[in-house]
Amino acid sequence: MLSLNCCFASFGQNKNYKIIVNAGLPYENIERTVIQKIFLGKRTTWDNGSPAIPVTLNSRDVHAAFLNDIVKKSPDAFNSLWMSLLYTGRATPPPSFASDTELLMYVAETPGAVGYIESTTSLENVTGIRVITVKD
Amino acid sequence: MRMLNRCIAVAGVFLQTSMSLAQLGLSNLQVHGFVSQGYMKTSDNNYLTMMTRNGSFEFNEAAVNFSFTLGPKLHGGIQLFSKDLGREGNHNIILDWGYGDYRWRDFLGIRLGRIKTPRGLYNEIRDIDVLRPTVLLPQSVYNEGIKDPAFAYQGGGLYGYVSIGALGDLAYDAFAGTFNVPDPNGGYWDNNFRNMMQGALRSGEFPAQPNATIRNPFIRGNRLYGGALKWETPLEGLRFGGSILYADVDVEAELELIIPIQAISIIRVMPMHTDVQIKNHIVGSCEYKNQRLTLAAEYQYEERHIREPEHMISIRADFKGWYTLGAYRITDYLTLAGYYSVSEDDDDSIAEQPAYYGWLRDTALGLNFRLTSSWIMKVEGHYMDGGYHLGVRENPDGFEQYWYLLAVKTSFHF
Repeated sequence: MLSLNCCFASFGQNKNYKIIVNAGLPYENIERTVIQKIFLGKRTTWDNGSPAIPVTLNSRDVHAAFLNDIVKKSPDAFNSLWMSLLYTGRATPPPSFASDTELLMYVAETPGAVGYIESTTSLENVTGIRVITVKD
Repeated sequence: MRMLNRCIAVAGVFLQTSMSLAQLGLSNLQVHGFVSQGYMKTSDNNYLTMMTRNGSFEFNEAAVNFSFTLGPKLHGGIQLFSKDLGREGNHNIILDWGYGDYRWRDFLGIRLGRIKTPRGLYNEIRDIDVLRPTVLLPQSVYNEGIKDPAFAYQGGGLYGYVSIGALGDLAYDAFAGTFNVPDPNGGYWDNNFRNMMQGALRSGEFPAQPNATIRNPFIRGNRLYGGALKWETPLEGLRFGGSILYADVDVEAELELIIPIQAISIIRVMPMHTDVQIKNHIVGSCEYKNQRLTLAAEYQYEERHIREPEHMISIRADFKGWYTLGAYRITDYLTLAGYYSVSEDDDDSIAEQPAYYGWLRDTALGLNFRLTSSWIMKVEGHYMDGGYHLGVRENPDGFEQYWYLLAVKTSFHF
């Protein structure tokens, strides 16, 4: 996917967020466009056919950074997209959580879930999730 | 006491419904909605069935929707909608959409029920002020006058997303069904139909009856079918689209004839049954969006075939319209938006009217304020050249060619 912004070999671990998935998924590296399409509602399954469940964080800075890098949309554009899907009945917005802890619990308990947390959040003693790297 | 009983009854229904939904596994029911209120004022000509020369607040919308999921592939919901736009709507609550959606794979899903018609960039969200870049969408493509066949349909549709590798992605829709005319006794259909039929009668299509007039139209929508395709290119934010639809409308009306007999005139009223076919209703679209800038352009072409065999009326009126639009997000809270829109009618049957009745050139510029995350306000001005889209009923003395419009609107959503 071409972009007017610079391309990097990988994302996620170089920024102020980490991308996490439910540990039941067999992936450690995922293409950026795959995650982008999941968060835009264009893709609802992973390559293995299991449901893909996007999850967002209410944290302003982390949310904006993730959307800018991975989804290529501003928070307003992202909200507008999901509002258009909601008010036309085509889809409902992804679950959104106020804290990393709540998001971690949801991703750990939900097969196929993918989300993001602050890069400084400790994952010691956290089970059921895996941090992934994203490649362009 | 009666109000208290009603409140208890409504609470009981809500509680029962929630319990039933939980039993069905629909505990993820979401409820959302929006409310909008606007004001419009024109320097000359009353517009969109409103008496805008005096200023009008008959310009609002409200909706509430209920949506749920039944597993990863199946979801559904309904949206109830109410609007007032001059003589249109008048706060009647309608089913905006209500359907079930089974997404078997990303490349193939099916929807059944009442569904918004996929057409152009903004048709499905045209009544949702918080999602529109401007107060009024360009009437060249989003004409409030014949909105009904392009608005929503009852039936079914197939849809999907298909990756085409390095060339980007395709999103498609194919649909078929029937459509309703919510206000069959008047509103904008009344204006459009009257204009077309009156022109046909006076131009001599109806032999030797220059004073014939149309009364009391009753409009009924029939079949509608079509498709839409969007191509999201490899360049981030750039997409192209095209859509086509066909629709049938039946119009029952009365034809009033004034028949001179020697020194007196006899008025004779006869029933009319008119078939209106909308053919090759095509919209071509292009849009580029990045973090701050939106650029869009669309073109619409349509053929309208009107036949009334009993009175030997057969008209074809081709309509063309296009616009270019730009919006720039100056800050997180302020966006500048504007467009230039042109509507043109090739109906040669309207022979006795000034040429500018056949076009409308609209130059619009406005500001969009995001007051909070759930509250916006927009203000915009329009410079208009032409009389197309204007209604005879609101402007019985004719149309001015050059006129101005001010539109203000505020919206809340939850």
